[in-house]
Amino acid sequence: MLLRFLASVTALLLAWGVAQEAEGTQPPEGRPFAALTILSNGRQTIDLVTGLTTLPDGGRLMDAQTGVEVLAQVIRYVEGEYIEATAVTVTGVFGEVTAEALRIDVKTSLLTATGELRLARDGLRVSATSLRYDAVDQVAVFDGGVAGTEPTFSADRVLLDILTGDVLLDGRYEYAGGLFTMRSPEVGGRLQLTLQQVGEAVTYAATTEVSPALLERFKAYL
Amino acid sequence: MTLAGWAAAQCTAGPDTSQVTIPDYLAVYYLHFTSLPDEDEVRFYGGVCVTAVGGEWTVIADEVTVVGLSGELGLRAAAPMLYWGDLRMQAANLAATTETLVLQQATIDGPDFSGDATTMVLDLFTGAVVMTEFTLAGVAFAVSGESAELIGQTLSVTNAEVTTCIGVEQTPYAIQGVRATVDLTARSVELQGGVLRLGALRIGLRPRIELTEESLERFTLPLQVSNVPDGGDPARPGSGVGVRLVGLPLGDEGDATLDIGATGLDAPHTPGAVALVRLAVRESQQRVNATFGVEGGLPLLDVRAEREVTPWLDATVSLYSGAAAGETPYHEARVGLNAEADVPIPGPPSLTVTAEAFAAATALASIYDLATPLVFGPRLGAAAGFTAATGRTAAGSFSVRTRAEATYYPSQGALQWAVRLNPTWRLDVAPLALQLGYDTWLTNSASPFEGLDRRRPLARLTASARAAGQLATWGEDRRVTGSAGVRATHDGLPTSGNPAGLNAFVADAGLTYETGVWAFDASATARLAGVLDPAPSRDASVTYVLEARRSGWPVLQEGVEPHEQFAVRAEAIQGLLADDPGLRRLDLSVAVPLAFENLELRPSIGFDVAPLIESGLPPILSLHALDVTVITCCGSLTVGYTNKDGAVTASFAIDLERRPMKKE
Repeated sequence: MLLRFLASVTALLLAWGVAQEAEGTQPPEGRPFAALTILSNGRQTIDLVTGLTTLPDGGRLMDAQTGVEVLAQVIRYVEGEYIEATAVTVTGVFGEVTAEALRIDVKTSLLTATGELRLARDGLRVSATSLRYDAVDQVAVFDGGVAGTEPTFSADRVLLDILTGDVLLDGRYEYAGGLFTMRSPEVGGRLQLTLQQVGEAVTYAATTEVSPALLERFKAYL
Repeated sequence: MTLAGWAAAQCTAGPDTSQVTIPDYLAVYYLHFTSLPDEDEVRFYGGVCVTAVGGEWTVIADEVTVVGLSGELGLRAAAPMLYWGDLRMQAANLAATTETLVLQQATIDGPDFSGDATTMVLDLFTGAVVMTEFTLAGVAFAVSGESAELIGQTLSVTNAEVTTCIGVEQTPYAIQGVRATVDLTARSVELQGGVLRLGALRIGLRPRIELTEESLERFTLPLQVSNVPDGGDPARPGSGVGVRLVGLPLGDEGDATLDIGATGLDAPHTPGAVALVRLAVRESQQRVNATFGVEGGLPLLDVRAEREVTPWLDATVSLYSGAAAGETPYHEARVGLNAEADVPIPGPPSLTVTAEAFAAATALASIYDLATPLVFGPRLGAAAGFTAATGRTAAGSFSVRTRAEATYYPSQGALQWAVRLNPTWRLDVAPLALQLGYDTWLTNSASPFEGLDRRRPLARLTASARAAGQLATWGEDRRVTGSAGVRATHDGLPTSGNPAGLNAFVADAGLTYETGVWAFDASATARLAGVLDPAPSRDASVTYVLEARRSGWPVLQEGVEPHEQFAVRAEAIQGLLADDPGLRRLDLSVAVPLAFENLELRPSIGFDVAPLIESGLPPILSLHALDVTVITCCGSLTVGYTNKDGAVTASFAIDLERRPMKKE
């Protein structure tokens, strides 16, 4: 009897989830992360009082506008407010990010990832303590012991222009460019890495004199 | 701060600058950099210092590009400053590999020289520098050439030019050579295949010429001015004022030179030409010296060949015909043997023994008729002697020269003998110097060849004492120096023109006070032989001199100080003899240098005002002189004359290190 009840509740919840998926494909406000498609890998519970939905078996989030797709082992979200996930892999135009935790503020279109964070995209591999991705500006900011392996660098902070792939190392940095390992002055500095396609290879042109356009692009984050 | 120190100061990482190292190649200190992956380059800019790992060289530039990042590494820079050892170089462009540094349109500054080159290639492994179309200038001379290689301090130049003209585009003259070797430490040049270029004219020089800054400093014009006494006959050939250029090289071998000029240039003397070729050849143990040509309008031949028979014995054959300037004319063929040996004795004393023997056929001639001999005949002679010296001892230095000789004249049946004894003693104990000497010739004066080899008896005692030194100093540039001395000559036998007795006794004393640019002299010189041992030919007088000199004044042109000194001088002569007592003359003179950038004049004028004081007569012009110095980028030439009491002397001088002053 109890099993039959649980089965019918689950069926009801699944039916609601399918209804939710159908509704999430329509972006009601035109903002990134405002229209999410959420697919649960298993159970899905809803706190009817707070509106908090939990996917304890993990699942997948997809934002049709930004193309951001989140795979996580646990997902918790409040419709129109935020999404939190743990043990996540996020893919999008910025590449692929793995992190211990993720939070998407739907209202501000801000994606924040923390813990064992790694970014991989064409010509760029970054590890950091935290990532803040503004889906509106399409700027990603890595903080806390940022290190890159393709190309090899380290910096206090790294800013990534998702649209162009250009990178700005900020603060004290080290950049290994072929024969050289460039180091910032003692007081810190900035190094612009401009993405270049040389034949099949993706590479970066480095310069300490940051272009005004890039500074303008990152103005809100410097 | 040294150049290298200055460079090093630029090459340190600061709060705003960064540093990057390429292992085993270089370190770069920079403000900004930009990598250019598609061009395989990195551009450093905003003030860049590049130093070699090891510090052998340093480049400072606004911008430096490191090229060939994935291949052959190199450097490129515009308007760089390169420090290489104690050399500093600037260039329009620098290109470098891991093996060489190449500078284009470069200038170079070193401690002893500076210059420029179209290209300079520095070999980073060997340290050699190869230059093309370069000029390097030191203090005294400049070397330029088609190409050169600098290894250490030695510069080997191809198609070289050496000139004292520094800083001029087209040098009016230069010595050219196929090759040249420049020692930058010794500041000397050895040129091979030398040609003198005077404008468009080219004159062959000796195949090997060596120039040093020292030799150029001592350089004198190959011009000689002489005044040969006429002995009361102005028509005497070769007498009067003569001017000649000496040592002009002939041919490429360098052992033949030419003297050319003229004598008797002053009226009423008779002009005569001078054209003498001089040869000097030395081969192993043989030497030949020959002079032939015209001297004072008369032919002259002088050939002398020597051969070393043993290390202490030379055999000589000589031929002579004519009259050297001011000498007795004669014709002679002569053979002889000359021996000289140092006798080994322990300690500082030295002993040298000499001996000689000769046979000659000699004809003494008149200067007016060389073809007609006045005295003719063979001469057979022998001589021996020794010179011994103690060297310096606590009691002074002693030396003695002796000679005994005999000459036989078969045609005249005469024999002349002569013996000389010449001991001297000298003691130097600063500030005192004492000297005593005795020179005596005992002879029968029997030679028929008067003016050639006739000896005269002599018994001369000379003595002198002198003290000189600094008496007082105040500060760094004020001091007083003084000197006092006495010297005397006593002849035991009459000499030509002088009777026996005290023929000279001179006492003098003087003080000089120097303060900054001023110097003041005061001195008195007493000639007392005429009062101590009166004789008709002996004078006695005292000369008093007061003089003030100032350097660097007056300045007529801004930034140009005179090289010569301004001077005022008073010189008085007081007679001490009863037949010529009192003030004989009082000369007042002044010399004023007038300096301009390329010209300095120093006129002098003086008047004897003694007639004015003694008799109310007008002063007599006693001195007028003028030195004219033309200062060029090639050095300076001074031509001058002095007329003192009607006696005219001329002077020529070259200073290859004096050039127009650079205005700040």
